[in-house]
Amino acid sequence: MNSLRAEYQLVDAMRRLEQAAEKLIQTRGYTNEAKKIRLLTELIKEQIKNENSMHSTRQTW
Amino acid sequence: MRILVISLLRLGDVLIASPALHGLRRKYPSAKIDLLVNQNFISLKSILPDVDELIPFDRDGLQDGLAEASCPLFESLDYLDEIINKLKSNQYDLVVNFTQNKLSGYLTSLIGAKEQIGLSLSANGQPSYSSSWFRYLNDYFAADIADRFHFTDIFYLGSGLPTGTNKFVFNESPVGKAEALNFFSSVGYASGPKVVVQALTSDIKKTLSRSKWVDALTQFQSFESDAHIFLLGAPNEAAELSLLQQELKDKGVRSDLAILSLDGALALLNVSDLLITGDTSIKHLASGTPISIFEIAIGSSDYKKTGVYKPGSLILKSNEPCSPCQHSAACHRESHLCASQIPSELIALAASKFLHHDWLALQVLAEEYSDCANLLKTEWAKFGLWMARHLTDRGTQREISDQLSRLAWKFLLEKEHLKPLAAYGSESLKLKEAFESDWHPDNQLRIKMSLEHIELTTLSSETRINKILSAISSKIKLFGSFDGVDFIDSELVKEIIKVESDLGLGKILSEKFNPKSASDFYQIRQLQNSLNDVFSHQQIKLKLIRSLRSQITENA
Repeated sequence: MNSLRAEYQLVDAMRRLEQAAEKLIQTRGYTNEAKKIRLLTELIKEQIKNENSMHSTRQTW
Repeated sequence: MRILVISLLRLGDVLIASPALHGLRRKYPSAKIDLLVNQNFISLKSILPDVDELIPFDRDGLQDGLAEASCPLFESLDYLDEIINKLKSNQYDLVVNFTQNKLSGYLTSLIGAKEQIGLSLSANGQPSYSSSWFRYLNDYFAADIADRFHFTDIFYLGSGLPTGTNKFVFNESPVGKAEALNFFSSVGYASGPKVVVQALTSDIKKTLSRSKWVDALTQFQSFESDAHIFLLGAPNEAAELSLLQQELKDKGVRSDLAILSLDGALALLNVSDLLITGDTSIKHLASGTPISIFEIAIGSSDYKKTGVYKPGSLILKSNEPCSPCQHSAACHRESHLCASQIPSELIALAASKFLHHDWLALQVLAEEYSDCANLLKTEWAKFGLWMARHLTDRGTQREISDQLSRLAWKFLLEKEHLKPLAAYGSESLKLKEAFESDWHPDNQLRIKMSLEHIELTTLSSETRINKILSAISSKIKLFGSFDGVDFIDSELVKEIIKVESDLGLGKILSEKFNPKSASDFYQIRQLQNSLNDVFSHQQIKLKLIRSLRSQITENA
């Protein structure tokens, strides 16, 4: 995470996504749309935790 | 037939799956095999001969859209739709998910192939695995259990591939070869052993300090004066490696910087004699080459899961009780003890002896330095599992029990025990062969006594687990419902914790319930399922022990 601002934006995006997923599930049930939103939420969680860092010591050309 | 393999983690995680990719190619020789990877690994195509197409997953593109407050949420959603629709249009017959995280689970399910192996998540987060191995990876791996398998074995066996063909296979590209040739001509290499040192890793906890490297390599050079040291690194590591090179030069040690692409690194490894490395993707790349590999496993490096796979390799592991530590947490000790406690002379001596494959000398070293470090030799056992065996612990009761335990898990996960003619005899024979070199005829009595003792402790665990299962079943029959009834009383909690401790199960059982409140139906069922697994495991282990004992008795 390079800056607090970036982290704040990601946390905010995650919150909006989770709310969107809940609303979708309440109105339309467990659909593919809900899965996609949950996928995007996971993407952000990985970025926030820096868990799934793409940083590798090896560049591939 | 079209197959998609999903590997969305780091470079090392992609490379570690190479045997499974090779196995899939052998099983489906005419299939089109695609590999979904993060965008910046797309050029791996040149070194992966078993993959027809590398498909980039634009993680950055998706994340950038999400992070911008001014960007509507649906832009990222639309982009994700594009990615998924493109994958769906390929109409895959089989999707194999080696990533095993929630993101990949949702993705696997959205792609919607006829068959899926590995984690797939429904919209409400319910997982399915289609493979006991991947369920085991999810349920048991995250907990700190003793019986851990190498990721390579899990990916391979979880993909339903036959035992015996798991090897790392990489292509040396013309570009890589040319890069390596240019490198050798630029450094003026003439003769002598070529020793490649991968000094840096992507995690500070897994990296030895510069001063440690300088000490170790200075001493190594004094033992191996004709060896050429090549400091291997990526372009972004050049500055750091230059500092190391300068400090070595100040000590009179000549080394050359080998700043190469992955293709070039592979070509260099293919013609070199020894690689000394931390837990890096280069280590996994080297497993597909003839080079001897010496891994220094510190920090969060868990050799049981990600150790150098190539048989006949050497692993040096710290004895610090906190190692391996948690992957993404900072070191909690006052200093990086697991690295600093490893004497630099041990690294130098081990590297020198290993260069000449002097395993007797390495065994002596292992005994001499056993207070601060372990030396292990990697092997691939005929019963289909990778092993790293301590040089000082060979043929001991603990080692025999550990391998029996792992073999029993393999039986359970492959449902071998359910077959009418389960292969207890042949598999225990393979286990016996794996240890035969350490089981001298004079040791027969000691081995029999060890097996007797292992049998007794396994029986005791089996009985304890049976009691717990019976207690829970009796309560269910008595009370008929779960409302307000404390199914897991304090006595049962003690028994469960004892089983976890005896069998090295971490918190696999106790995490299924909350000891401070009554458990619900789902929790009790989860606990019963886990207990049944562990019970079956102990039963299988007992049969293997008895089969092994009878084979030793026959040959006595």
